[in-house]
Amino acid sequence: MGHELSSRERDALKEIANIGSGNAASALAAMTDTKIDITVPSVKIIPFAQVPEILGGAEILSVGIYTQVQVDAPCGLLFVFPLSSALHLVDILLGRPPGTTKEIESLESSALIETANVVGGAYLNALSRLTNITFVPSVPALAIDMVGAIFNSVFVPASVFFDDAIMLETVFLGEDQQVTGHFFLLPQANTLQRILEAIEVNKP
Amino acid sequence: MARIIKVGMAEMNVAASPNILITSGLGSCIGVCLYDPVAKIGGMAHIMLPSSEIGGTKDNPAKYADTAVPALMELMEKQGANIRRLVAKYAGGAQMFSFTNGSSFLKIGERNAEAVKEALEKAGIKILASDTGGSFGRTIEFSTETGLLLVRTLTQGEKIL
Repeated sequence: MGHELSSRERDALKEIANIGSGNAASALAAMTDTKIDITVPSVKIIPFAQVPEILGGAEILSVGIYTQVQVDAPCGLLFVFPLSSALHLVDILLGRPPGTTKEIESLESSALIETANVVGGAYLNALSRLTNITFVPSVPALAIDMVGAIFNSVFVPASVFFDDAIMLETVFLGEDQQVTGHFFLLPQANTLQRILEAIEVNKP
Repeated sequence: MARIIKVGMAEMNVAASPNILITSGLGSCIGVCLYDPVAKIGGMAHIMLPSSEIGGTKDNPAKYADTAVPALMELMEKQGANIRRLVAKYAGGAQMFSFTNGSSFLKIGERNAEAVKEALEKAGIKILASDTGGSFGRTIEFSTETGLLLVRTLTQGEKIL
């Protein structure tokens, strides 16, 4: 059931991600009172079975933040960072000197969840503006564990319909450090088809 | 020297003693192991969903609990196992994320565990041990030499079933 994105569809998704990440960066900078930039260097469609390897192996200790999107176009949004990268990201978000954060406790967890909320929300807004589809995201939930376990748990509802994940490489740039994470859009039901059809009609 | 045979998501495989079947990073998925202790032949399936009825495609029997058990039995029989001697162990079926509104699809781990148990009972295979549930990932290693199943986690230590 694989689906190949055309280069135009990929460009459109990338454009949406860039608009969304620009808005997200402004919102995050305002929220944290620090300078943060976000870029999306690549958008890829990847068969789910290959994802754990791309993320460094199924057993790598990672932080996953998942949002379920309901109503009109069901899909899942997952941010994944290796634990060390998540700790760096918390340093950036909380304006701490690099290397300060050693553990994810409740403050750190809230900062990461809020970030996923803001960035995910900005992507969905950008996508919504282009497609006229309404997305209603849940409050995100966070897990720290094997990346394979995190990924396959949230991928399952999508796998009934679609054997691929849309992966956006996402780079967070602070004043003196940068962190790379992966953002996955996991379309459920006929969401991907709806998004692509809408892109076809309303070119960005 | 035992060879290590990896079983990926929605895949299954069969091995003979002393080789080891491994599947890494089980979340809500379940690793189902069947074993013929006399022939020392083992099989492992990495199932993702409880029932092929809810799937749009039925092309891959290893993906669903209800189809993986009979498919694995058939594969093991072809490789010389006696299906009347088969016993089972399984692990996985965690719920990695919890939502305050109790979103139902994330309880898929629990439903997978029930479906595996049902499929094994339906096939008349005795369940020797299982380790399911919780909110942590598991990697499992099944020895076809001893029939022992090693369950490793990053946060909850390891155990042998």
